[in-house]
Amino acid sequence: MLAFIGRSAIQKIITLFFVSIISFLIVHLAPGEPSQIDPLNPKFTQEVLERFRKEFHLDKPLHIQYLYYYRDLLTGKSVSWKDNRPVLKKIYERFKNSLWLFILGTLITWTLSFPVGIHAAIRRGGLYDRSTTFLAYLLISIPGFFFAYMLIIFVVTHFHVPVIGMETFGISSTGWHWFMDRMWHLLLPSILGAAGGIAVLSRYVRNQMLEVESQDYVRTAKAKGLSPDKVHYKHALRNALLPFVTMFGLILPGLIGGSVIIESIFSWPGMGRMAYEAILARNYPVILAVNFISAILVLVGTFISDLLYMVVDPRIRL
Amino acid sequence: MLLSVENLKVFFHSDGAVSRAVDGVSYEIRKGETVCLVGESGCGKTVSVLAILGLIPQPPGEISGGKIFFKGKNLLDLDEEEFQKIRGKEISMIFQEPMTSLNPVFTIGDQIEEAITTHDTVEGAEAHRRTIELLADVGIASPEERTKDYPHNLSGGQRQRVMIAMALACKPDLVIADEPTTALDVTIQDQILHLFRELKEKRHMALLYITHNLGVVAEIADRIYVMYAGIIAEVGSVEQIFRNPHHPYTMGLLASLPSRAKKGQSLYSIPGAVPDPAYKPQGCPFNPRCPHVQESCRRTFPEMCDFEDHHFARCPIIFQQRKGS
Repeated sequence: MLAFIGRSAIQKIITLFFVSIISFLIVHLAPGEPSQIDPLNPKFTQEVLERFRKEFHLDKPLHIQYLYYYRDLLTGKSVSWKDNRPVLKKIYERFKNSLWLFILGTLITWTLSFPVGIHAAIRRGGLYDRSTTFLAYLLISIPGFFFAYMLIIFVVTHFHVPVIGMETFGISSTGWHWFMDRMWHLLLPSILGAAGGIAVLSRYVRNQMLEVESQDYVRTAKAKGLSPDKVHYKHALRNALLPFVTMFGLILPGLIGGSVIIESIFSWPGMGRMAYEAILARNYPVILAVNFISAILVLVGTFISDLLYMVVDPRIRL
Repeated sequence: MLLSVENLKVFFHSDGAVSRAVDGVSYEIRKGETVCLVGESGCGKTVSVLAILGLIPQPPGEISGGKIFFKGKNLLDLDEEEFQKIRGKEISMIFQEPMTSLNPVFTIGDQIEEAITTHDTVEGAEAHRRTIELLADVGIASPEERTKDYPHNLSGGQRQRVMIAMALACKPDLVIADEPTTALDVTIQDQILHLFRELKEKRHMALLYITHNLGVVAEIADRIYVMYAGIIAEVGSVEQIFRNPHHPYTMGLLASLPSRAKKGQSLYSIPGAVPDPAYKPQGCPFNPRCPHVQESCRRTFPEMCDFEDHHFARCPIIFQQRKGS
C-alpha cells in the first residue's frame, strides 16, 4: 500500500514535468505574441514593446523562458501580463465562483443519473425505460446555448426572478433575501450544466446495470431464493457501481475547467471565461497556470480513483 | 413422486421467429433418486430445468404449456413470492460456470450465510457455524479461514465446491446440477463427482444431473433421460440404455464413445447437425440424421413406445423391428 503510494507519487511528478514542457511549447508555438496583440494601439510604440518583451523575458530563448516561468509559478510570484496581478490570486478568486456551480451541477447530475439509470435497466423495455431513453437523447441533442435561452425566458417570464450574473446587480439586502437571490442565480446554470451530464451518465448507468443483470452470479442470487430487491440492489448494483468509482476521481479536473458557454451566457465570472479571455489575449502566465493546475487535478483524480478502486473491488490489490 | 414435469413447452421469441427450445418434455424424479438428463448443447436440457425454478427470462422466453408438479403442487401456478420460498430452500441449483457464478464482491462466507438466513430465521453466529460445517462437508480445507475469502482467491474446483455448499445450505429435497463439472479439468471433475455421490448417500436428496458426458452418466445415474432437439428421445435405467439402446439417436451417441472404437479406426459420428430450434424438421426431429429413417418419420411425430420394464423410446420404427423379431 505505502509502496504503491510512493511509486505512484514519483510517476505522477515525472508526468507533470513532461506536461509542463509540452504545454509550455504548445502555448509558445501558437501564432501571435502578447506584444503584438493590439498593433493599432498608439500606446504600443516600438520602445514600449521592447520594454514589455524585456520585462517578461520574451527576448530570451525558450528554455530560459521556461525556467523563469515555472520558477515564478512555483514560488507564487507569477503575474498576469494584462493587469499585473498575481496569477494564483486571480485564479483563486474565479475558482471560488466556479466552485459553487461545479458542486451543485455535480450533485444534481449524480443524484439524478443513478436512480434514473438503475430503474430504466430493471424495467428494461417498459414505458419508464423508453421515456427516459427518449428524454436522454433529447437532452443530448439540444444545443446548450439554445436550451439555456429557453430556460432563461421561461424562468424570467414565469417567476419574475433575475438570473444573469452571480447576484442581482446592486443588491444590498442581507440574510435570507440575499441567500435566495444567490440560489436563484446559481440554479439555472447548474441545471444547464447538469442536463447533458444526466443524459449521458444515466445511459451509462443503465447499460452498466443491464450488463451486470445478465451475469451468472445474478442468476445464482435469484436461484438462492432472494427477493428481487436484494437481487437488484445488493448483488447487481454493487457490481454495476464499480466503474463509476473511477469516474468519480476523474470529475475533479472539472473543478478548474468550468464551462465557457454557460459562464458566458449567464455572465458568470468563473474560471472558464477567464481562461478563454486569457487565450485571446495571449496572456501566457494565466493560460499556463490554469493548464498546470488542471494537470495536477487530473493526476490527483486518477490517484484517488486507484485508491477507491482498491477499497470497493476486492479483486484489485495494488 | 418428488418432481414430475409433464409435457413442458418453453418457447423463445426473437425477431418474429419462435424457437421451440423445449417442445413437450416429461420427466419424473423420485425421492433420493439420481436422474441424468443427457443431450448435446442446445437440446433444451438447461432451459427445461430453469423453468422448474422459474428462472426463464420472460420475455423473450415463454412457458407455452405443461405442468411442473413438485410435492403435488404445480410450480407454474405459483406467484413470484411463493417461488422465492422454494428456490434455494426445497429445490436448489448448481450452475455450469463456477468461475462466474459467485458474486466477485462478496466473501464466500457471506454468500453462503445469505442462502441460510434467507430461508431460516437463525442468528448470525449460528449461520456462520453452519457455513463452516457446510464448507467442511464439501471438502474445503480449513473452512473457517476460507469464509473470509473472495471468489477470486479460490480455484475453479474450490468455487464449484462452494456453489455445492450453497446449494445444500437449506437441506433441499432436490438439487439440480447443470453440467457442474464441464468447466473443470478431468481430475477435478472426478473429485466433484465423488463428492456428489458421497453427499447423496449422506443426505438422501434427489439429484437431477444434466450432462452431455456419457462417462459421467454411467458413474452417477439411476435413470437416464436422453434429450434431442427439445424432446425426450429415450428413457431408461443406466443398464437398459447402455446395454440395449432403442432410439437411433442414443445408439449413435453410444457408438461415438471413444472407448468403443477399435484401435486405428476413426471415431463414429452422427452425420448432420442439430436442427435450429426455430426451424425443426417435420415429423421426428431426428429424421434427417437417422440411418433407420422411413417415409412416415418425415410426416408424423413419433409416439413414445414402451419397449420393456420402464424403458421407453420415441421410435416406432425400431419398436416394430424389435417386436417383429
